[in-house]
Amino acid sequence: MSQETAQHIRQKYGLEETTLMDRVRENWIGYLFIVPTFVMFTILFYYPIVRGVFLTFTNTRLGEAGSFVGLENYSWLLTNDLFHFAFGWTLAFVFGTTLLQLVIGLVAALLLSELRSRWRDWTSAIIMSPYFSAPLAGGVIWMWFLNSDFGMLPMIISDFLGVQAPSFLADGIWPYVSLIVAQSWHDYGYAGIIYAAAIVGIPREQYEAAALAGAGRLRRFRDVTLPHLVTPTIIILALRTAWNVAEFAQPFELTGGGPGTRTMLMSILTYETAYVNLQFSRAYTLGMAMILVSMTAAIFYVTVIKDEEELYV
Amino acid sequence: MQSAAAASTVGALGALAGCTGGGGENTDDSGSDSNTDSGSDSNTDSGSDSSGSESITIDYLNAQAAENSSIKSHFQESLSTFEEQQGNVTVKMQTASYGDIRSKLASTVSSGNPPTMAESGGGGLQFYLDGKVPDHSPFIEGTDRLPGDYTAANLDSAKYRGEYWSAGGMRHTNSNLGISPKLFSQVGVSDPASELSTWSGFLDAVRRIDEQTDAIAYEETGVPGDLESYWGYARTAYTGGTDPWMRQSDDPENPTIVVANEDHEDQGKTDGMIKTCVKMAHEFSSSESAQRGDEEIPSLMLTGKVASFNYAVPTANRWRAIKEDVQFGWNDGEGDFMLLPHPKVDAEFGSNFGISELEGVEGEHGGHMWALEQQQTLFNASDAEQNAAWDLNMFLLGDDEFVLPAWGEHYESLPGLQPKLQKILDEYELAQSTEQAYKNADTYGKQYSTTGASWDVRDTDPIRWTDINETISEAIAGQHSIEETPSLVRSRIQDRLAQ
Amino acid sequence: MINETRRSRYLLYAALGVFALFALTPYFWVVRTSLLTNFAAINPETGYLPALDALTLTAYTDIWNQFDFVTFFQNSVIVSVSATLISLVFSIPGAYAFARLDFPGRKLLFYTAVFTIMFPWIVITIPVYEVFYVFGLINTLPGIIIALSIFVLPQTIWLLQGFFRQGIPENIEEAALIDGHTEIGAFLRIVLPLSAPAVGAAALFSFLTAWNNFLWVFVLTSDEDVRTATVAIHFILGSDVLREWNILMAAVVLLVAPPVVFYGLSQRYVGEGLGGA
Repeated sequence: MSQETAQHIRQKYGLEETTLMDRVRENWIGYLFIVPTFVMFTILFYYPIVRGVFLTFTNTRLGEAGSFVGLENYSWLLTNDLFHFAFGWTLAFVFGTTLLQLVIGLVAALLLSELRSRWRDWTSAIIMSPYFSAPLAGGVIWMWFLNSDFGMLPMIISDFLGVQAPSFLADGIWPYVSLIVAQSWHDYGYAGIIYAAAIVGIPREQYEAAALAGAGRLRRFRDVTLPHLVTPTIIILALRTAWNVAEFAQPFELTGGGPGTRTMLMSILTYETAYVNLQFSRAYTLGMAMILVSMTAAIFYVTVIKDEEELYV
Repeated sequence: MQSAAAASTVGALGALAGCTGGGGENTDDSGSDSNTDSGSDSNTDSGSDSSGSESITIDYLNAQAAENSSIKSHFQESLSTFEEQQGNVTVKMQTASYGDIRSKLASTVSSGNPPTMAESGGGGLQFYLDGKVPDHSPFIEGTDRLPGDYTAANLDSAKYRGEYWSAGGMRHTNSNLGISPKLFSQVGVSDPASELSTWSGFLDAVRRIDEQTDAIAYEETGVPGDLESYWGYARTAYTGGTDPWMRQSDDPENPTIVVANEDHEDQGKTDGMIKTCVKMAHEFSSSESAQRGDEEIPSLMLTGKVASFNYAVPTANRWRAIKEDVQFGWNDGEGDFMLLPHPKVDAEFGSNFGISELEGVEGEHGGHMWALEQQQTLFNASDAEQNAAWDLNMFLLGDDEFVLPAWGEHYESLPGLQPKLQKILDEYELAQSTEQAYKNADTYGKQYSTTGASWDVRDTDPIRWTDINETISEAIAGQHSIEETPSLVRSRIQDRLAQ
Repeated sequence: MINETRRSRYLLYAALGVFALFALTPYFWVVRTSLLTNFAAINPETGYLPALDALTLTAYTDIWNQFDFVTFFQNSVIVSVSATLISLVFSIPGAYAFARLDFPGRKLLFYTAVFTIMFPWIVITIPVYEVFYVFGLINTLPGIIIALSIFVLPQTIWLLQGFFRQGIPENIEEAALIDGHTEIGAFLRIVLPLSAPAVGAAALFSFLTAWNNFLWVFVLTSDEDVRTATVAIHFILGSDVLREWNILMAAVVLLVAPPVVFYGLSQRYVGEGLGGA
């Protein structure tokens, strides 16, 4: 305690900055707390990632490292038409799904917050339920729901609207729309849950004070609710962007990149390159491109809010 | 029956034991050779043969047993029979679907943890070239019935530039023409076997169905993984089983690519059939055709939505699973599903369908045999383990108690050894579709050769699945024109070979 | 919220109804299919709501008889619960350190941890397999448990450290330190009990993520004895059953129902835990 005070006094009068060693001495326990975690991360993340980066400079086909080929894999990547397409479509897919997930999740959370809590629990369980089905199942569910011959949606369209439904997984722009809608269906729940928690956390008095000051519903939303939603929005954007880039199971089950290669995403192309064509070094190189997209997005979001403190939920 | 098979297995094994060391796959193993040699000299039963009293456990990874539950339980029962026969061998069977076995093997093999034997398919060739799989010649040559008893397709698949990288496949499947008798009789077909025997006849009937009914007259199973349908009829422009895509040349690393090859006499036949595939899909198939899997066809045909397709296989159980009382065969035009040979290319087809390359061309192939997917390989292991795995392979290929029920009842398909075909035909009352598929295999069997098996290049699988099929699937999906498709296939194969 | 009119109530219900419809309709079609015979499921004469006497549980009994779902579900439960517990043991101190302790390098390490959340997993399956093989963990339940514990760890740390940072007033700890508790003591006796809701929420997310995980279990196992339900469904999809829509959909129902119901039962705690207030 005396040490604390002494330091306090030193700082107060600007006599001495806290040195690095001081911070270490005071907070060494922090290292103890995070070491186990980082040991585990090394096994599943850091080592495999480093090895993957190394392999992109070799001509490895199967697991064993092949010989060094410099930037050959990268030049292959940059000249590959299918990669160009997959890159562009992945960006569009990620933009579409992330935005929709954010908007649907936000509206769902706002509506739920208006419900009395007695009803809120089960209603929100129903509305958020898609998020808790396995992504693998999500792909199968939508493939069946949209199936031109036996699916529900085309059946409803032809029975009640009297027109032949387009083929949702094949015709024109529809496969793209279907993939984005299905992915949004599956994952808006994540945004919804985070937003709902943030809204619940807003002190009631703030609304009451605003109401007393004569603020209408919209005003109250703008002045009271909205400021509390900025941080959750950044979190959701950063995470969902990364997860949507990496998403594999659901689009793979739904269209598998087809018809032809018209809906080829980078994740599916990576899988195909690794496991169908058995060219691991190229698959890793593709993976690097995926990481690049995720990281660029993450850095962008973090820079936008600047202050690291805000990054916490 | 069984004792005969067992005896031949024993014989095979005895002969083989002396040969194993000769394969030269691994000098480290030379120490154990003398052991096995002495075993074979004593000429006793297989139990003591494959290494005395010590017990052996082999890991066996296959996809076949994952196909349905009845074939799976048949596998489990048969493996216990095998273990009893052997006495000291334990088989640990693991399963993965055909779609997954490749990735499963890629991770296990590359980290040094391969199974002893696996249904490795075309990927096995790549493992062989990477030194993970032993030369199978000593095993095969050590038997008295192999390679002679292999089907032509098996032999072609297992061989790579004169060496054997695999032990053959337990069974094959062939893809054939499948039609809905109800829909075809509705447009006046009364004798399908002759009226649909040529492409012109087939085209004529399909056009009538397209005009007169709401059904999809012909559905291409165009997802890259299921364009095996095209692999079959691509060969109908040829006779005698000539390979449409690539032929060996003086330099094994640079085979002659026939596709879009201006200087090759057969270019027209090959390019013509690629165009036929895309054009048939555009004119008669649904807009989903580019991602249609064959799994979906039975549901569609049994509900009257699809009239024909080219991916009909012998497995009748697939149809019974959809509708218990499905009617196989023509049945006076009342049947639900009928299997026929692929139509023959006739001299007029080219002008009838507007494919100039095919004018005047004639050929037939009947169907397409797949053998690469089912190839089983041994992986590097101790001699004792490899011998036990080879015994298992011979059991799965040759033991009638396993083979006949497996391919005649639980999962109708074609056995990997030619002599077993007739036995299954004698033993079982087969559905029309199965029986006709058998007949096709019998008629065309000599020329049946799996796509890619004869190319003898490392990247057979990527070439056939990605460079050929995916490119054609893209054309069906409208990503590039019919005219440019053959040259795109060509340039992708060239890039692949140049790697 | 304060001057509610009846009309805006109805509007609210209608809007929530639309959301519920969007969430549930795809499920409805799956459940309908799973309760029919295979041919009835594709027969156009079967209506949107099939007649009661057309409904049957054969798809479920078939799937139960054909596949060893008792083992698969048992494995799923063992694996998800263990992974949840282990990841909590690791992440609670880790998250606390990130949130409250100002050690040098904290920022960098925090971003490194966040980076792992965003990593596209598909890229690193092979090297991970190698590591697990070296440790003899392939095809074992402990292997899956370890993999899934690590897999859910970043997410859990992220959730918890947010709560530690915002949900627990700093002066509570200072008071505890002044009272003579050590830092570990303050953490265990004061901070942790206050964090129960956040730990609950993190546990829920871990459990569900582990239950739904496909990739790692798929990569690290090939024995049926250690297969989880999620991977089992994938194998059913890849088999000949792909032609039997009713069985396929029954499998989907079996896979999806447990986590969704579990979430329904426990979700009231989630808001509290995530909200940090």
